[in-house]
Amino acid sequence: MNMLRKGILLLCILLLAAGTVMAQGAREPEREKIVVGVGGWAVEPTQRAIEELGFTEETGIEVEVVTRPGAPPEFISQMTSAILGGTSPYDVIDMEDDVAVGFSRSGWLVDLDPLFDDEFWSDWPEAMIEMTDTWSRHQGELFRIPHNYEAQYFWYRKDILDQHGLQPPKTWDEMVEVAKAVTSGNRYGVSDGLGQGAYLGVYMTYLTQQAGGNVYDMGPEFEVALQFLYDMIHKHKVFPISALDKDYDQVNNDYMQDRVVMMRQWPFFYGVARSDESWFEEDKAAVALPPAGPAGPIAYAASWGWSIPKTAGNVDAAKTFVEFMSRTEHQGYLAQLDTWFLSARKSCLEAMDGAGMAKYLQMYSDAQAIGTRPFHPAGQEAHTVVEETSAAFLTNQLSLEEAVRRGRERMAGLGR
Amino acid sequence: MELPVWLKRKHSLQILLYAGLLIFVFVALLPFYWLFLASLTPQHQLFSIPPNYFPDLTLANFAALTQQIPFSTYLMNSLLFSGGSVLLSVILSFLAAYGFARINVPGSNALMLILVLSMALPPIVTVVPLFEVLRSLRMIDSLTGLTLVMGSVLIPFSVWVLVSFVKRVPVEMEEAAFMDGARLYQVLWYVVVPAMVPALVTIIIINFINAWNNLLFPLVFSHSVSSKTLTVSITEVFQARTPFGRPWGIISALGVTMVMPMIVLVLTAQKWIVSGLTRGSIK
Repeated sequence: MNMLRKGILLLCILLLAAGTVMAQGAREPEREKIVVGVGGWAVEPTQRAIEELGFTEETGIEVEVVTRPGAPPEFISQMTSAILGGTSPYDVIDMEDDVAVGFSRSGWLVDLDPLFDDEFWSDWPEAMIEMTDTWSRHQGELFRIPHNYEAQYFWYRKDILDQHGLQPPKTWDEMVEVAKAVTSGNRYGVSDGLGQGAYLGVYMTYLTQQAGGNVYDMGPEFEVALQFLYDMIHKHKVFPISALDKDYDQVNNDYMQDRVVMMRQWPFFYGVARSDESWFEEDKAAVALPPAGPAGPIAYAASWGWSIPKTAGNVDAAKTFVEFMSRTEHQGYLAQLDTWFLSARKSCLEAMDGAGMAKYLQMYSDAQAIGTRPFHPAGQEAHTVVEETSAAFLTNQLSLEEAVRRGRERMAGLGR
Repeated sequence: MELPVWLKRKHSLQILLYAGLLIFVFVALLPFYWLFLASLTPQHQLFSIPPNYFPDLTLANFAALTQQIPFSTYLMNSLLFSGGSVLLSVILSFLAAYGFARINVPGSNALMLILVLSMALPPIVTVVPLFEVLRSLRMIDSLTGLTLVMGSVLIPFSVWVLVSFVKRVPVEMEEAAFMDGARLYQVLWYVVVPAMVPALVTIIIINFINAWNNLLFPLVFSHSVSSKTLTVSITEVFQARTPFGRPWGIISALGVTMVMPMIVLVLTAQKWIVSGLTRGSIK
């Protein structure tokens, strides 16, 4: 009898459980789902964009936006093992230039070209197309579609320059003169984050481009740029030697503590400056065109964009997502939502109408001051050679000739 | 009254010893002090020059941390992952160590050597094969899979350490228990384990710290919030606001939350650790 009771009870529980599962299944048909991996800073705006643009309503595809490791080494470790294991934690990934290039050379990314027609590309300015061809194509295939266009801007303290009756410098020589006039005590005319490990190489790439060359050639233009930086530090003493140990946070902090008057910085400084309400005034974070070197006022842009791993669980749904987020009609809304989606696409700048950072992006685009970031297939290794060569000269360990000679030898060893 | 010369010398030596100790403690604790201070310092005061040793204290960084990541879920995952790995590794290692110490099987020395050599294998080279194993077991992105991997990684070291401790337990005690009719599991539980408590506690703590601090396996095998641990969150928080700026205040707050449980654990079990670590040195 007791056994019978137990049996009936067990049967009831099983029926109840089965009923619950079936009822849930009937209520909600299973939807396709994709996982989109973005940097921590982009999770919230991406989620909002998906909701407010009605992606799931239109396509029936659900999206989970998750944080991917921000630093390349951890991200590469995670992805490499997953892809070699035949899977991927993300269906769509928001990827930076260097990492995307590495993945594309390994043949890990889906060709996105079939998603976009000629009309789509007509929204793109020439400079962005050139950047995309350099950094997002491999063997003719589009392995990443950029969703932003981050130029480097020349920020200056208009309030301090006004006090001295000075205008923002238009050339390297003027920059030195202005810097000399405003350098005093603990305050330097110019600075930058030049710590090794990314920063110094970026600045040397920027200066060499202004000198008319490609940093990876290590040609005469690189020497001119390196000598110019050396002179600012050691000869004119308008650029702190301590900058060689600083990252962007530290140089931003110097700038906002009134210890620096002019600096190059990425668009994120726009938000950083405004976040300290007790300090910020428009005149304290003004933007001008970069002081022109021998080749003119140029600042290169970098980008982040959407990619799909070939081992993703749902490649078709991922393609639908990438196409949706890249649509011309969505660009204005996305840029208004967050600077992370600001690009120089015509639809984007038109919709922004000079608001926020778009004003400066428009200014740089109109002046054709945005160049394409130099590319080297050996990526990080080539970057390291540039940094070590530059640091050896800037810290007086080697003469310019010797440092560059060694740098060229090492660069030649990397091939091209 | 003047002290004799030998006493003066002894005092001077002691003063020197304490001074040296103080310097060592200062150097060892300074990074922790700085970490705690940074976690309580407002972001805009973190880079002040000269450094501000007495900033305005705030809990804003901890509040921001909980907004930035699903902190309680990650913390719980870390505890389950570390606790599970410890449980698995210590139980299996203890049994294996007992076998190695007490049962004479041909080739057991070679087996032990292989086990010890496996410790020299860099973890990164095992990642892809492990990935395929976990995928075939449908355990990618699960705490169970992570725990199995970490537990197995901890086993060789634990066995290697525990074998010598099992050998120190007098075999006569076990024989007496067998004579009294005890079964093997009773001998292990009532005789061997109590004699090895300091060693077991030490291994538990060392393994817990290893699992708690492990980044590689959770990074590779966890993809969703449900299985990510606090170590993975460091990679997420590090560039949480922009790809360029570093939120050092939040990073420090996360550092404190990761270090605190370890400090509490080690201080609580200090007596056992010292006893466990020094027992092997006494003949």
